[in-house]
Amino acid sequence: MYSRELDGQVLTLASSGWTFERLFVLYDRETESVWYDLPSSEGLTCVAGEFEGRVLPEVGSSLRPWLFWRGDNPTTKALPTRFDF
Amino acid sequence: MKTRFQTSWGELSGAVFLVLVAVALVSTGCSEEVKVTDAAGHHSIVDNDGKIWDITTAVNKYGMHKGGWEFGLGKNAIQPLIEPPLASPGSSEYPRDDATFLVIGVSVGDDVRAYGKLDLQRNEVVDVTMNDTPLAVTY
Repeated sequence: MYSRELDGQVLTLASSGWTFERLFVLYDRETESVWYDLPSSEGLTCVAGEFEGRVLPEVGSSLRPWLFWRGDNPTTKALPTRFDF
Repeated sequence: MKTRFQTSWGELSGAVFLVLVAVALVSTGCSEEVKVTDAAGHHSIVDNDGKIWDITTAVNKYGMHKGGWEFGLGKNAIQPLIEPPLASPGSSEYPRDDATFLVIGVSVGDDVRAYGKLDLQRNEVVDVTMNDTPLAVTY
């Protein structure tokens, strides 16, 4: 998960349709700058476009089975899903 | 002197060549990505919608060599989810407590949420705002 605020501007991140080495390459709809999670960097790096060189910092998140997340966070909201097996 | 029923071997082979090129273009054109480096050293890739992406700095500064870029589905092929509505505990759409599907759990202050991994994989990005903090949830 990444912050998508840069210099007070909120960016709308989306998939560019491209992958690089099988990972999705993102872009922001505001400037069409290209963003990628480089292995060498913490966060999302702008690799081309107006924001080239800038990094959107990574914000903590955890990947866990739902029941454990729910157990630790009883008030959690959830994205409705049909994948709730 | 040639009559209209006669043609040179050169003309015939030239026509066959053109037909083969046309067939090749038609059969590969839809899925072929175009990667271009111009005389000035600018690197570009063209996606299926014809949009040209300038990846010069990505290649030269960040090691994202042209060969690693694939698919070029177009920027509208996979739509992000933007502020999708969430289910609260007790609502009919809330997942069962004992469900084991994987989620990305996120919290900012008292705003706590879970997004299913499979949903994230389908849409690639979810753009949300949590406690006035704009965030992009990805997998």
